[in-house]
Amino acid sequence: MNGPRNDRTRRSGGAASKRSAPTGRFLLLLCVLGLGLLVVAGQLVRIQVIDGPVYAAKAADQRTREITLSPQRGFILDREGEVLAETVPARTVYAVPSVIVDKEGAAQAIASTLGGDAEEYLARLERGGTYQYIARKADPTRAAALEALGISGLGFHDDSRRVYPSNELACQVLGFVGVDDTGLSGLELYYDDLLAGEPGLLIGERDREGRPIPGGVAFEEEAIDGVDIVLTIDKDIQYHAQVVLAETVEEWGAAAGSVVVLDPTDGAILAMASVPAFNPNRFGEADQAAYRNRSIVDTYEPGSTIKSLTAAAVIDEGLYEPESMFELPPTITVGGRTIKEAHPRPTVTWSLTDIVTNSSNVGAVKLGQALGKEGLYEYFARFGLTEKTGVDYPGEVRGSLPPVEQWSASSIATVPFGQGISMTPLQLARALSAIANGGELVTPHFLKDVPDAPGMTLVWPKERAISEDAAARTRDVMADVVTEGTGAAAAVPGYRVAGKTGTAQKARTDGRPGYAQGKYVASFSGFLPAEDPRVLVIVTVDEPTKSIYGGTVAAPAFARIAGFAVEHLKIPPTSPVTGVSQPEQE
Amino acid sequence: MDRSRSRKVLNAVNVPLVVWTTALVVYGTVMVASATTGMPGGGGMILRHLVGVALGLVPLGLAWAIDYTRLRGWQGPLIALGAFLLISPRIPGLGYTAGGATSWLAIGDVRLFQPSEPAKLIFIVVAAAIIAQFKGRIDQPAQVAKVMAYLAGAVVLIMLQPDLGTGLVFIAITFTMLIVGGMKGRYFAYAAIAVAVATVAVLQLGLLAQYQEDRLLVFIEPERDPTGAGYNLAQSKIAIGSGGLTGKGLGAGTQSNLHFIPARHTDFIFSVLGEELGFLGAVLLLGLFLALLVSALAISTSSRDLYGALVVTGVIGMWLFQILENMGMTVGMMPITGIPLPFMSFGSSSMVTNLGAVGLLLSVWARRYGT
Repeated sequence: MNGPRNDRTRRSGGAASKRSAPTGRFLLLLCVLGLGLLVVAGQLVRIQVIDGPVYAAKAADQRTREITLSPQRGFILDREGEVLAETVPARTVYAVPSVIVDKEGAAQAIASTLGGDAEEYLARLERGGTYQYIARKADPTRAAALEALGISGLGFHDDSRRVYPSNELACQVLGFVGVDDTGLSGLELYYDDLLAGEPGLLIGERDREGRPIPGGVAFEEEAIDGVDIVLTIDKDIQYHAQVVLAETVEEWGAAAGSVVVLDPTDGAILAMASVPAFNPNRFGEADQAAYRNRSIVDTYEPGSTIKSLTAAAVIDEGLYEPESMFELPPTITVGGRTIKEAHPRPTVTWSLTDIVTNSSNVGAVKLGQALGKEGLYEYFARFGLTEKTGVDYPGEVRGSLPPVEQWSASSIATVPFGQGISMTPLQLARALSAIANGGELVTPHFLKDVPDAPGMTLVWPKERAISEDAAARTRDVMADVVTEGTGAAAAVPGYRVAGKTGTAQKARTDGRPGYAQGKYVASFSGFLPAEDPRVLVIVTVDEPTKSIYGGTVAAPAFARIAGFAVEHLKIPPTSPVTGVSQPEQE
Repeated sequence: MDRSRSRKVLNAVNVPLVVWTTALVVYGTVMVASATTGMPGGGGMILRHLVGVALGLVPLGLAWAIDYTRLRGWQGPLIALGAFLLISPRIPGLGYTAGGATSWLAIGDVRLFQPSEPAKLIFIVVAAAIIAQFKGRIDQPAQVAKVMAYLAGAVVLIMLQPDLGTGLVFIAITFTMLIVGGMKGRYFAYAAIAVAVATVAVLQLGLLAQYQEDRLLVFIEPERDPTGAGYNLAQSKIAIGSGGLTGKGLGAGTQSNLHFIPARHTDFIFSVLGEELGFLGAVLLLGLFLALLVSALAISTSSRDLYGALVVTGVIGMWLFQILENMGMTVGMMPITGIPLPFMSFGSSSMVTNLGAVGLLLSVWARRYGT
């Protein structure tokens, strides 16, 4: 032992000394504790001061849950205020799986009250997390039964559900909404902005089990309900059109079909039907093909139907009168292509009216040649065949009318009778409306009124296509089709009907040029009363198998639908009904 | 005469220690009140806390009154009592098991106290007597071995419960006392190596319960399992961090009130404090702890003998370790163990023990001039 250490030991151990241990040891201890506390302080600076905002955000995120307050979706009404789509109360059921102890029991209880498969509910409960949907938009009575069981960990909140009370009625027109009440197709989609309203937001505080804290509402913004819309659709005409169309498609063994009924004076669509149809209340179960609103999203070659437009162009241009005579050979060859008639005949001398009435292809070629490429194209463009109709419906397409430069040598012969050109039934309806209403191209539309938005003005543009006089003369020509020509089956007792049959071959769909063997589109398009048309109907039957002719397949359907429409709209008859004697006096 | 008597009394009382202890008890009571608001039996919780404080005044008074030097003569009975306390929860009919550890004494389902808490003080008194024998100079392996034998005995009994956290407290107490007790630096180095080897061995051999191993791994890698084992740590950090500089206000801690923080009134009371009173409140607490420890250190240096200095040092070691471990775990610097924060956490066993420790310190101070 050396001296100093000995000395220090003695001093520190001595009872008389105040210093019981070496000072250095205490200093070391002081350093250790000072350093330890300093390190903790340093970490506090880091997480509270520097990263404080980050943790604050995490805390907020963790304890709040945003709940969207659903606005009530506006109703869709027909022109007379009948409900086509409505919103009814529903309850959404969710679970906080971590809180549920007996998951199997809970799943059984859910299945027995709400219906459905217990296994499926169990799988959801076992997925864990703090929020799992059990059933969205459940029936309120069933949800109440489940709620009465008082299972801890199940939550309920008010919701609403879209219901289409007439099921398949106007299904493609109305479309449907998704589970979050946003429009997915049809007018539900097109007018979603009006119908949907503005969702509100509730930011609620919750505890670690995800249960809402009473009074713990950090932010609340009321939902703004959507507004009702009134359509131009007439529920009764729509129903009738759908029934007749379905029967017609069935009767003739067709693949599909469509009907457009509109008021040619302003373009208001009174009915629009497509077969196959579906039930929008259970749209998920339907084939997607049934969603197609064929009048708007499918194009066809119009065939002979278009001869009335060709005739109108010739008359408007002042080239010929309805009574002008033409010498028509059995066939005509243009640009290396020979055009024949549907039913062979010898050389005849027919008036312009006869050409349309008998649906002469050779005659149509003559009319087209008289107009010339540019003239024909210009008139078809004026009839709206190069553009969309502007209808208030999503996904509208337009047919094809190639520009003149792309026409082949034979185009001038085929376009006038409806080959090498295509259009949607609604495009055709719009073009024919111009003939029906005195020469104005209207905008077809579904929306009639938005009662809760009085400031909103609906403008459906009109544009002159042909002169009033030319339109009137063309109507006369078309009226003869029904009284004397191919469209006799379209006659509606008491009314003079103007119209045109169409029997068009379908273009091949396998990418090769030419027409598909044995595939036709039979149609009838017309309006009545011919003197002052109020109702325009186009019936299109796709791939009928038992007969292919528009006059046979589509014209009777036209007669039934148009006849019902004029009666329902209380449009007075214009000609005496055969077999019914009119009383002399009343 | 009156003046000199009052001066004499004042001389016998270490004013700073009393002031800082009182401040901490008040601060702790406020935080426990805030943390237990809205709990099942919330009002009763704060009452139980205050009863703990009142109960703690008994050992404080007793320890203060008794001349600490007399404790050296009770070595045998104290060892026996300490051992009994540590093993008592394992005696059938007396123990109460919660959270994987049987560390409570109970009659039926009524929990009385955690015997390992007072056992800490007994261990300090016993170990101080052993270490004091070496007169401030521990350089023989046999001396180290003797101290380690006592430590090992205590730790083995604790691990029967098992309570890893309290075991670590005993180790921390022993090594703090060995600093002042004069153990040579190389033995600390050996000890450090031994601890490292032991830690690896324990992990490799799977001696820890699964939850303990998870807690350690989560500490090393916090993002490992934020909803499972990492949940406590993640939630504690979110609460403290979201408190920011000035906190959300007393009783306004959203994370604690919404039950995101586990054991928020006991082991995680500091998370509540950090959230509600912010960085400033946390630094105030650190300052109070620093003041407490420095005043304890001052008492230690002024002890008239090495034994008294060692008793005080043992208490310092106990407090320092518990403070650093508890606060450290809430901010993600230490693995999570169930160790209460002295004077702050709810829990009578801890409060009574810590106030008893204050009594020991006051006893050493009061007798610094000899009798």
